[in-house]
Amino acid sequence: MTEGQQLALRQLRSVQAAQPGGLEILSVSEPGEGREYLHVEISLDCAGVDHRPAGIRIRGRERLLLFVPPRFPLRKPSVYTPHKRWRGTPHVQWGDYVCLYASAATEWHPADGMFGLLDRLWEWLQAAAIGQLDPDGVPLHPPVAYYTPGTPLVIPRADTPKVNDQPWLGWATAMPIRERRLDLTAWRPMRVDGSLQDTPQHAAPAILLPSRLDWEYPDRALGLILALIDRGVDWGDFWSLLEFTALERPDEPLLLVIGTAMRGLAGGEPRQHLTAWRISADATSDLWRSLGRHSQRPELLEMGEQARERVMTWAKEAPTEWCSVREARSEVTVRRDRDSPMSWFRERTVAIWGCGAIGSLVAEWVTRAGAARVILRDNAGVTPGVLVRQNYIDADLGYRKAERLAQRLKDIAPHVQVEGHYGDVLDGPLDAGPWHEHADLVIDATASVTVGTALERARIEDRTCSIASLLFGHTAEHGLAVLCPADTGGGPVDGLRAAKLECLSERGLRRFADEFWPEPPRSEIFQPEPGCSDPTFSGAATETAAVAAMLMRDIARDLQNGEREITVHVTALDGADDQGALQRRVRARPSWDIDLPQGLQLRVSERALHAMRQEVISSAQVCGADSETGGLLFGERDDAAGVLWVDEATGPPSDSEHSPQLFLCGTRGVTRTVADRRRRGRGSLELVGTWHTHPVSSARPSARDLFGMAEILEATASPLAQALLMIVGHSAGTRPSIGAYMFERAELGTDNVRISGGQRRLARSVWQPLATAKVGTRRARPSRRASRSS
Amino acid sequence: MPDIPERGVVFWPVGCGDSTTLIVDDEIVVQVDLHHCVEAESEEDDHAAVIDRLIEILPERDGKPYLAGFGATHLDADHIRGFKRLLDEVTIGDLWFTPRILWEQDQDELIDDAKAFVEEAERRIEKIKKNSEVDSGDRVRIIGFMDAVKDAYEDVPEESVTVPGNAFRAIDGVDLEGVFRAFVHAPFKDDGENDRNDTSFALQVTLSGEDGDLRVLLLGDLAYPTLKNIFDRSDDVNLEWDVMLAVHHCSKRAMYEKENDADVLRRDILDAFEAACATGAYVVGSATEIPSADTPGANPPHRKAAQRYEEIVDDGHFLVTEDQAPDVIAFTPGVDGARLREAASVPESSLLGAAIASARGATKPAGKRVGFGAARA
Repeated sequence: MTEGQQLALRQLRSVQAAQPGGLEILSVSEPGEGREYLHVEISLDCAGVDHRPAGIRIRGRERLLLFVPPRFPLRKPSVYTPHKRWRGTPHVQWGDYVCLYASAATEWHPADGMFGLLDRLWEWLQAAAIGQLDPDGVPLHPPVAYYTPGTPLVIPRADTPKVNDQPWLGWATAMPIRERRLDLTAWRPMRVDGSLQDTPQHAAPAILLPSRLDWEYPDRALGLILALIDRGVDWGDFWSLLEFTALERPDEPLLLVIGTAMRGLAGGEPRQHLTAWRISADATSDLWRSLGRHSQRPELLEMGEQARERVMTWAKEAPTEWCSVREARSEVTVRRDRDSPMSWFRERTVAIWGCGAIGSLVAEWVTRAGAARVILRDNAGVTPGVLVRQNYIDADLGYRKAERLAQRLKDIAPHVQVEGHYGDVLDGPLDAGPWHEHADLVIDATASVTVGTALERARIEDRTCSIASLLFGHTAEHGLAVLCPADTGGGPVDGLRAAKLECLSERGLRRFADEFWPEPPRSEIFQPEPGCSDPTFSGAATETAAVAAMLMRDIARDLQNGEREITVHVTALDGADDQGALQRRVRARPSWDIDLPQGLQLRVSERALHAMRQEVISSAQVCGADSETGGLLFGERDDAAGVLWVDEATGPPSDSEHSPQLFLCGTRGVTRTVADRRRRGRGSLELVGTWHTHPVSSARPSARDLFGMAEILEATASPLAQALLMIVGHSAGTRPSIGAYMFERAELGTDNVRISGGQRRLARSVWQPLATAKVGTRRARPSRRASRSS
Repeated sequence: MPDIPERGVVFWPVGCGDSTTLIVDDEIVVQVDLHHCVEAESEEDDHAAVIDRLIEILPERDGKPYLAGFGATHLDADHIRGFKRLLDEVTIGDLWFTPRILWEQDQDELIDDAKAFVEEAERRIEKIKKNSEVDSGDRVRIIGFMDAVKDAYEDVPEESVTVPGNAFRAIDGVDLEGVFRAFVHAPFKDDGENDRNDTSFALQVTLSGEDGDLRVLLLGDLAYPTLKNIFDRSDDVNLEWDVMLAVHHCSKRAMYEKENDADVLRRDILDAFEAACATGAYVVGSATEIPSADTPGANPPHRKAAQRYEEIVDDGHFLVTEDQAPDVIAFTPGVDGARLREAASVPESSLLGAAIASARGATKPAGKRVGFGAARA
């Protein structure tokens, strides 16, 4: 006996001694020749156990056999009955094996040893006696059909059709997936409105019962057939179903799928428990030949009757060969990721651009999460260096990433529709359109500024798809993700700008600004391979997987929550810098946009509108509501993306002049203001134009305004190439409108000066809340000095 | 107290001894063994004063209570106590006994009641010798065969002798075919001179009712070897039981044998009991309360034996007469065999949970002060 077995015996003896009669050790058989388990026969006092008709008959004392393994208590003992009285009871297998633990890995506690085992056994006996081994609301233990080695593995995927009070006869589509592997992907009834249907391709005859079979299925074909007949299956239909199916696939083994209403949650509506019985090729051959018995031709008739006789002999003698069935039907299984945000991806179409460190991982995750269709796009091949952290294997070297990854995804989930496209997305969907290829989500993992810019532009025209963009820092220890939900404003560039400005303005997020938008720009370039390889970030599979996983989870959660605004998430691993791990959602403030000519879209941040509104109120208090006011606009123009962002607005320089007719924008301190914004914004807060009010008139520019813009564009030492003029019309009212106009320096002085722009009335929700904003006191106000009419 | 059934079997609470009444109908009642203790006649005693209770239920013939048959499995005191009074107060139609009682009549250790039984048996045999036809009150049923005394009962008509492997259906000259059947399992021919316990007669009695049969296994005080012999030799149909009187007042000698001073379990006999046990069957121990633990050399009942029986029958189907006193334990034929006349079982709670908890131990501190240290005078 091992030390563990001695311990087991000591524990049992201590229970025996503790309360005479509670447990009695009847016999002990030590391990010996050819047997390494310790066998202990015990007798347990079960007096007074509550009994109900649905339960098993527990006697006043029950004898049980404990088989204690040599590595007890690290390995749990097995419990057997010396009888087969409980055969057919759930959780009793082979007629005498008592199944005590659903999951020994979590339920068996080595430290509690035999005490825990006996407690469990006692609970089991009590539950069994009242028929509550499967209490209401928990999954039913399925019946047992013992697997026959060599039979195929069967995976039911399609939910079964509803079975009423009569058996359902028809076919399951048994799709061959690979060698010895069949997936049940569809169901078709044998008859519709009484008429016999054609046998579908890859058909497996299927019988679904509205009732139960015994807990252990018959082990002989005839026993099973009689059990089916006994439960209402028509004898003639049964054979017809088998014979006609055999006719379609002569001389191949046949799979008969049998469903019984024995699955689901106890106390709930029973679902079909599926088993698959393999009928040998010989029997299949005789099955279709036996159809000859219906023939008029004597030789066929004779052949058919002989075949029928062989079938009957086979039925009497052949053992049932049960296939291993592993369930994947949604009606009887619960996905392990049910409560994960990643469940958003179930049945979705996802396009993944870039199959590198991020994309190759993300593609696998969304596939595992149950995506219905995955579109992969990448323009590179698998090189040795990327195996360090990308989701490829040595055999993929030299092949195109998109194609190899597609194969990998198909290996993971054969039923997912996967497309692997080699090529540049700029020449693909971003050129031919629709750019989103009808996906629910496009994940841009290219880390390409060009692709991001193109996406931003494409999205102005078509916002029907969500976009997620993921970035790594230079050591893969920082990550940043932007999610642009469908039907919302900006795209990933918009989100990145918003993130950048937030990171720059909030001390706690400054580390991300320094990582992703360093000033001065990072001069070291990491080029892993010699020659002209693309620079990339450094970092191992662990960092890339960790950061990508955190970002993906954030994105999935936002999608699941139905976010309607752009969201940005940043993450930093512990040790990434000197500030510890962090995972944060960064505010991406909504903007208000006006479409300008030439495909340019003006996006004015709420912050800028807020500043303008404050100035309007402040000016009204100091100079009167009818006096004009204005100031400067800061932001960024990206002609490639087709966006002009106005992120901040200032009030008038201190030497400005206000009157009902004129706002004369001063210059005092402007240089410093511009320099300050440039430093703060790291290129994203440049001077882009001016704004002023028309308190009681429209937002259209006056002749005076045009003249003023010409002065701005031409009169400075380093003039702007373009300037934006924003006019707040009817600013004295509650719902002013804003006019926005672009002026090109190149057009000034020609006859082609265009006053191109647009107007949009501000929504009350945008402007009105500001009326209650606190207006700070201003120490200096400009003098009332009006000299020129506007 | 449960009703005495119109047809069925009654086990009286008589302490450690046997008193079994077979009721065929309101005219035919048979008593197998008797353990009437005088103390039981006191109202303060819970045990049954069997003779008095029996007289209450017996029919009368010629103004005297009439017992159609009385059988003594063997003549140990706990099986025959009170017979003398019974014989005085009751007309016994038919006397059942083994040849062994004719062989040991000279032996001294028999109690007076046993001697009275022997005398009565011999009287009847003598009368049969003189008159080939005898009436109720003089009839005998000899169960088994014994070479040593075969001459003593050679004049007893053949139909009144039943040897193992055969059944009889008549009681006191009345053929009860279809209602009563007693299949004889023992004593075997070669066991006649063994220890008296081993010469007990063993019967499977079948009482047939409208709903079904009640099969009662009465195995006297036999021990393992003879029991094994019975179950090895007899056909299944003659072994099946709905009620079994626990052998020898729930003695462990039915299923354990001594080997090197240790009790060795004989699983085969338990398996045989179980194989012959009908669904829902009962085991009745006609004994005092089962001890919580067995002590070496103790007389029956034995805890070990009780636990083995409990492993054979359903929970609550192992009953002890003492536990039901002053009530009797009675069964009638039912659709599925034995039907307990009344819920006689006393609900118990399992000891297992407490045993596990106790063995596992608790983490509570000691409930009283405990002293330590080197003791100094």
